[in-house]
Amino acid sequence: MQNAHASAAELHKLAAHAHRTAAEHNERGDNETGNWHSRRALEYSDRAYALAQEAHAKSGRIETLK
Amino acid sequence: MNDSHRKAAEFHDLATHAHFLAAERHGKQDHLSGHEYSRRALEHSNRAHEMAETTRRNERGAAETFDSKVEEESIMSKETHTTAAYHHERAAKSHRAAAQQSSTGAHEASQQHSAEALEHSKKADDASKLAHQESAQLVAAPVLAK
Repeated sequence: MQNAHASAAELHKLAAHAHRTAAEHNERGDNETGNWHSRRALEYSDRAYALAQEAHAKSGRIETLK
Repeated sequence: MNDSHRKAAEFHDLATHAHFLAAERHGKQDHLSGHEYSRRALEHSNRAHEMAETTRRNERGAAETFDSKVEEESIMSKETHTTAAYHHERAAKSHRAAAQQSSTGAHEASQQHSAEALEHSKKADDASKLAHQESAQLVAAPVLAK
């Protein structure tokens, strides 16, 4: 369960970084590169959200077992 | 826009023809007709100039409207990416807190952070989808304008 949270945190961090890079490229008018980083951000985001759901489900099970 | 250019060219042709007729009449000492053709040539020339000016203004207006639209969309896209990044960072923080509490055996606190993490994660994922949608539109925009 700890691992799931740690992995989710890492993926969210990568998504945030990709979003900030996309924003910088969009600001400079380099929309092609901005879009590329945006797609990467979305991929990290989807994986992070899936892991967040998984981690939370495990958290709930541990709480119920107590 | 091509239609305006074509009309301006027609007025130029009419002006040229009237100038030619005026010169011909003046050459034949028919100064009264020559003067009349000269007047018509000037009128056609003025119409051609007005038409060209109108076309130029319209083209410049359209280009400025497009440029400001692209600039506005770039700013919007930057803001949505920054918002998405913020939600992802909040989610990452909550996940780390959940992992930390879990490692110390504080499962109740861990579950609370886990619920917060899931909430931020959902918001972050929605924000990522919106930001990517806007980025994709920015890439498609110059193609549509052509």
